Formats: sequence, C-alpha cells, structure tokens
Amino acid sequence: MMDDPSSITHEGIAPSRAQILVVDDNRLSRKKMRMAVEALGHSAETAENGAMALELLKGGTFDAVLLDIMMPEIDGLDVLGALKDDKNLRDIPVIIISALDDETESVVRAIALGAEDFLPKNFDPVLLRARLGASLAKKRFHDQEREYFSRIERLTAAAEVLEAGRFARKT
Amino acid sequence: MSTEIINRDAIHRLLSVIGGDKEDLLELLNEFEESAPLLVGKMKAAATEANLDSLRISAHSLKSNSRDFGAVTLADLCENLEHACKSGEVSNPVEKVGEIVRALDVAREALRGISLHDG
Repeated sequence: MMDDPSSITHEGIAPSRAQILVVDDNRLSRKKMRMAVEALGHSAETAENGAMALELLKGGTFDAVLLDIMMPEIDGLDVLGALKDDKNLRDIPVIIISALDDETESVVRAIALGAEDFLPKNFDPVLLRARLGASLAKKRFHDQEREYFSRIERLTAAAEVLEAGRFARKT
Repeated sequence: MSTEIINRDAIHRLLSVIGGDKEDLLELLNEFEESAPLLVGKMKAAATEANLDSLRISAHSLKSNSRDFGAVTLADLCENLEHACKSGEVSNPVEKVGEIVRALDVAREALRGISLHDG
C-alpha cells in the first residue's frame, strides 16, 4: 500500500512509495522490471507465473501490477480476467507488458478486459515512469473516493442510530 | 567487431531503465548468460519433439533477453522462429534452433568483448 495516499499537493496527488507486483515467467525480464520499479522509488514483489500472481494478489496489498501477457499455463489475460472478476482486486491498475510485434491482438483484448495501459517490452524509462505514475494517481484517487464514501456510510449509519434513539426516548 | 553484433544503444537503454547501476547491469548480464543455454536446451527438446507451443514460448523469451542486450541477429532469428511457430509452419525446426545456437555463441562472445563499466 502507498505510504500516504491522502497527501495531495496543489499540483495534484503527491508521488509516494507504492507496492508493485511484477508478473513475468522470464527471469531476466522479472529482474529488469523489479530494478526499474525500484529505480523509480517504489517497492516490487515478483511472481513467475499466473497462479503465483493471483495468490500474492489475494494475500497482499498492491497498488499496481505489471503483467506479462505471454506466459505458459495461466497467461496474462487469464490473470487479468481473474483479477477483474474479484471485487477486492478489480480496482488495482494493471499495465500489460507486451512485445507488441506480434501481440497487438492480445493487447487490445487486455485493454477490453480492463487493463489500465500497456508498455512495450523494450520500454523507455520515461514511459514507465509516466504510465505507472498515471495509474498510481488514479488508484490513489479511487482509494480516497472509496474511503470518503465509506466514511459517509458510517456517519449515516451513526446518525440513523442516534435518530432512532431519540425517537425511542420520546415514545 | 563486437559493435557489429551488439547494438550498444540497447545496453545503454537497459542501464537507463534499471536506474543506472552498473552492478545491476552485470547481474542482468549474468542472468542472460545463465538463462540463454537453458532456453536453448528447451528449444532443442521442443524442436526434436516438434512441440511448437513450447518452442514458441522459449523463442519468445530468448528474443526478449537478446533485445535487452542488443543482440540484434539473435533476436531476429528468435522472432522469426516464434512467428513460424505461431503460424504452425516451421520447416526443419532443428536446423532453425541450430542457427539460433550459433548466433547465441557469437552474441555471447561479443558481449564478453564489451566492458559494461565503460558505459
């Protein structure tokens, strides 16, 4: 979870250390992505297959997922589908990592399934910063919105209890 | 010699992606050195068994790794094989993997000739 999701500056939502899950069956790509994420000041956990990714997602608090599409057995699209079917996980932004040269169709499917964005395998670091930053900003905004509505619900419930108490005393 | 086989711009980009730490870059190069023969081993087995799905996935991984280190010819050969596997039409897969093995040897030799510490 991000350190301080409520910190907002007048320029927008302040950057903070986020927890990113990197999912890739290729060891070298996994290491590269972890290093790239850490170079941006975030922390990263890695999963080498789709099953492990889903297990980590269900047991942890991640702010974003960098997800490779082509993996054996449970591929990136399957992971994305399972994540979007889970009401506790569906708001975590997913950025698809794709070779793009022959995976355009899969990227389009991933976007249709709810992926936030995509990155080519040989991405520029500026592109990673921009796309991850935009996804995290949306996630922070969404977290704040959810917290706000949760407070409203609690206040409404408390007000109803008080109201009911008053009526009870009168009768 | 090595500059003809390895695109140094790719290595510079990789260094930039991981934050500029050359020790990390060496760690990735070691990973490339360790993983490439394993991937080639899988490709050989898959080619012998004519298992195109397994061949495609290993070719895909070696393609990505080769591109990261600017091994252009190796990456192109892997990409061609990956595409052929996807289309289901691979003529003589064992020979194709043989070409990749030779290109990998050349790329590894060239990478050894490049001092990553020179940037």
